[in-house]
Amino acid sequence: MIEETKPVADFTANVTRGVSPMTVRFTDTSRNNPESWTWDFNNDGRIESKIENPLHTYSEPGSYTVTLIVTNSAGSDNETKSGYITVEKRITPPVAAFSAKPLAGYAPLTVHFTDMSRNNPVSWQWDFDNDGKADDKQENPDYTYPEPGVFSVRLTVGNSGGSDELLENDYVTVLEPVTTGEETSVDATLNAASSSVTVRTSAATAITTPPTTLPGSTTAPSGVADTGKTADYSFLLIALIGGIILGGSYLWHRSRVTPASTNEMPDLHVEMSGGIEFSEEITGGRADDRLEKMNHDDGKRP
Amino acid sequence: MIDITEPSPELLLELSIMLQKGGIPAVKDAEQYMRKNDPGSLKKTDIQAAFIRRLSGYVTGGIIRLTVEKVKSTEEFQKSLKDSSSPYTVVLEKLAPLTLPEYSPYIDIAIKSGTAVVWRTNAAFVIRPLVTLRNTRITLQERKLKEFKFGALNAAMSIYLKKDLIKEELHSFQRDLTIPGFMIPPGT
Repeated sequence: MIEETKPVADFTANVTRGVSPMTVRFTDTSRNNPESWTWDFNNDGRIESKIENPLHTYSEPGSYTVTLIVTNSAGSDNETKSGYITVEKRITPPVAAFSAKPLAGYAPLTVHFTDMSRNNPVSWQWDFDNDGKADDKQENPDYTYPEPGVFSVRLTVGNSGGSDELLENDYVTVLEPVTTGEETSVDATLNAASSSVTVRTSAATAITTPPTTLPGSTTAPSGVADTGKTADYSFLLIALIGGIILGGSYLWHRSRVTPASTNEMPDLHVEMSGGIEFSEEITGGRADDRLEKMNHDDGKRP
Repeated sequence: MIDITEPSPELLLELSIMLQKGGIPAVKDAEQYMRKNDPGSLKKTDIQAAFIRRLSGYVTGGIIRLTVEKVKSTEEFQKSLKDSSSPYTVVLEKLAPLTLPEYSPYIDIAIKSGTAVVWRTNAAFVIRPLVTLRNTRITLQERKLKEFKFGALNAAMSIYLKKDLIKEELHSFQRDLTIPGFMIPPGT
């Protein structure tokens, strides 16, 4: 007859730390052949399982003490492991979002970026020109674009629940600085006497280049009618004269004159002029008519 | 007399964005001509910058002109008229958003050698504006408008390029515009 020995209780878990809900497989490792098992997975004094190798799911975050009581004919034993299982709150992965100000301007342009991601990211990776290299890891950085261009911006955010990224294409527009010192101006005067607004354009704007003589040039360019006169049309010319749709007139012409022989074009420069066409009679229009009518109605003269 | 001598800086920026988005054929052609015939002497951006500055001025001038005329036709303005030989100021607080008629700025580009034009082209645009004014202050005298100022002007605008009978939309935006000479300083 073999005398039984009292069991020595012991157990392991396949995982002792995770996020809720967390399922744990407990394995009895007791010695001396226990014949019955009693499990308390959270030290509340209640028996949760009586099988040898149970599964238990922890739904709530917390630290859990686990107790196993084993018994055979020789007696019983128990093993308690304090704080054995740690369950953490499941963190929702972040959802990347951001804004920036300004979105357009002249180089060099400093833009302030603001993280607007949801679910509390703890890490940020900004790529301000989408070249694949992280440029900044702050939450709300400033970045200066030194050169003109149109730039896509990528933000990658992360927390313990995961990560997310957002790519905004063509997000920031950086323009060439306006450097010309030309004198373009538009005068719009509110003329008290006529109760009308007159818009005049300024004189033609000249952008002057240094005088240039092209190699081998001997012949001066043939004269071309200045702006305001009807020009000769090449096969590329399209002219459209007359009122269309809005009652305004539209003229688009293109004139090119090729000198008879090799080119000599000294002092080549660009001049701009122009104006505004209004589709309705603006000057001295409806408002003035109403003023006159009111004056006559009440018998008073302005 | 009130003069506009500078384009709205916001319009300058928006039209620069418009140019960068798609380009204007007339500007591209002028740049190409200069590059071909006088390479290296003129930066591409010189023509673009001058074009945008001029166009911004025209767009600004047109907005103001049409806004003033539209305000003059409103009931609120008409009610403010009275016979007074002394100037008086009225604040128009109930102006609805103003749908202004379309207007068409155009720019002619000529390339000259000395005084002779060797090449030219032009570009015409259509502007469709909707303007909302806040805190509009007018000064009148003897039923005539003497001064026109506002605290804020918000413009929703679409810009089209005129090509034959077709209007090609180039850019749209909505934003507050600063119009030098017409703004009421904040806090007054």
